[in-house]
Amino acid sequence: MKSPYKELSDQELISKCRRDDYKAQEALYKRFYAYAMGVSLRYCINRDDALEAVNDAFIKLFKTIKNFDDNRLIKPWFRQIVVNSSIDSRRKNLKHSSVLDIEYADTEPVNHQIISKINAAEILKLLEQLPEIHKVVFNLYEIDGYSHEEIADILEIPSSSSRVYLSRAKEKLRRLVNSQFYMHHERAI
Amino acid sequence: MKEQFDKELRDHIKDTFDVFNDQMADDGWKKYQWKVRKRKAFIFFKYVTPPAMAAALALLWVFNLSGPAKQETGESETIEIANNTPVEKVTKPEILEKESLGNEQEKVFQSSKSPSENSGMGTTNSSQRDRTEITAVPDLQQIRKVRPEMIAGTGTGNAANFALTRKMIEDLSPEATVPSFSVYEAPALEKLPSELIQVKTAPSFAVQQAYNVNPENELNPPSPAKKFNVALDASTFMNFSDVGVNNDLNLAVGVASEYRISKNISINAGLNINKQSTAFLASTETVETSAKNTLAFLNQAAPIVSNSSSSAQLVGIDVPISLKYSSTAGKNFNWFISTGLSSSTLLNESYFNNISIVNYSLSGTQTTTETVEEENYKAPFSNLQLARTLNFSVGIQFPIKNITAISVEPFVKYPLRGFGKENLEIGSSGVSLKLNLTRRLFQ
Repeated sequence: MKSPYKELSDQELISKCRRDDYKAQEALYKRFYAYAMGVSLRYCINRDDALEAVNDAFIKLFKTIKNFDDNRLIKPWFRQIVVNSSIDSRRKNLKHSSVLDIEYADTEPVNHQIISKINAAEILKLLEQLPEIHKVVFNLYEIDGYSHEEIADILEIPSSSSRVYLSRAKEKLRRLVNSQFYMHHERAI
Repeated sequence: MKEQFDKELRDHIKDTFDVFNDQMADDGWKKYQWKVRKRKAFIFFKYVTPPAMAAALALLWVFNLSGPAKQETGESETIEIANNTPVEKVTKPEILEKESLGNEQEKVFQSSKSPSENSGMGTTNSSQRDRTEITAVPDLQQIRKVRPEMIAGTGTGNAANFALTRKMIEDLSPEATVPSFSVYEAPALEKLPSELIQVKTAPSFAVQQAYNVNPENELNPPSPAKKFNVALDASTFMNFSDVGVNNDLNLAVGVASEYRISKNISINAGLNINKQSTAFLASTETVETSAKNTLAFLNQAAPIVSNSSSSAQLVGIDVPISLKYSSTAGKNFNWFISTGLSSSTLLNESYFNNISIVNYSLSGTQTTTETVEEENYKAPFSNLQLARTLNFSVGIQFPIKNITAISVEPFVKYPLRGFGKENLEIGSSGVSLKLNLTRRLFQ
């Protein structure tokens, strides 16, 4: 017997999830799991925290899916839920985070071509090396498209601080990419 | 230059994580299910505990159990003296229980003695005209010392009251009281004391507690009738299984009995009728059988049958047997812990299979039909399962004045084996309320 759930569209799965269809929930979970982890991993300190945040996000999703407006796209909406869950998880686990000193890296001329060679795991490693608040602000502003005012609300910091953190995050990322990938790239050549 | 680099890095991160691939979805789903179960259990206890506590408090309020704690515990008794004189009075709750048939009883003594005469009763302050509460003193030296004077001072009451008092003291310590009492004979008690002495004996619950803590209880062991209690049992609970916690709130009613085998330990048994409900994943055969009826009405080329969800509603009889340890440390209540096993049998089984049929017609059009197929099995007393669940509970028992006692008992029943046609392993968790059936309750 073939399960038809994998072939159902997002909208069909959503309508089944609204009727508390257990298998539809499972199918939707598995369909959006990787996407949610991709968002959550960028915010959380480790993989376990990221999974915890993702599961929290799915609980919220299935709880509120009955009120979901069919005219909207589910992915951006769910992305917002995951970001919020990840920020909540960050708050809970803030005491475990550590800040690394990366001032050792010198400013070098950057090679734009090496950026495309950086994979997801390497990006996560880069982000891990940022101070925690810098990483969150960078993710919120640059990747997830929040404004500084929204970030200020979410993180309960002044919006000017958000701007400063973003600027520092970008600066440090440039240095990190330069020191870790440009050097290797040069050696490889 | 920098801006260009930042933009490229941002776009690359976005692109990379938009198509992020993680193969751990199955593992994540298992953790999700565990988290949901944990959350449901938490929500269940969050919502069940306050109403249970509120119900217990309401019952306390209804039965006006806010009286002095000492009356309830049986560790002391109150003597009210109208004019003066704190008098040390000694009682033994078990004896009072016998004399007063385990109930509150008031004895009024009239004393013709003047306050000045009362000062010679071995008391300390004769001018004080307050109501005095006297605590029981199980010290035989004090009994020897106080009791004769007390009787000398108030020993003009009627013969019956005197006999009661004398019996109390004799039972406490025959060797201590008999020589003292030999001096005071009933003819000397013709005159009633002027003081109003009100003796309140302890209620049965308190007496039981006092018996438990009294080291002399070997002298007067409780009768077999007191060892045996019967109670009405009403439980509200939610079921859980491998699939998760079912949201339905179910009910069980029945009787429970308790046989005390020692001071703190008792054996409990009972019988109750209950309704249980759970969701489950039906077997392929079940789904196909259920789908047959629906498929007969559908003219489809390539139907794919799947089971969206199934639920069961089972009515049955539960026979629990457990070992209970009761603590007598509390003054106004007893707490207890019990563990045991339940055997079960079924009276009625209903299963609801939610069938989803997806059809791909020859033209390529996909249609989905959803139906609910109900199956009913009425085979009373079928599926008898011995030791089906492992039970664990913790609770508290409140006395309701001297009439009865009520216990509030949160419990968990963990399934050890499946039952019913679908062999479902259903556990339950909830709160049980037990009302002790006593003679006083029906008077």
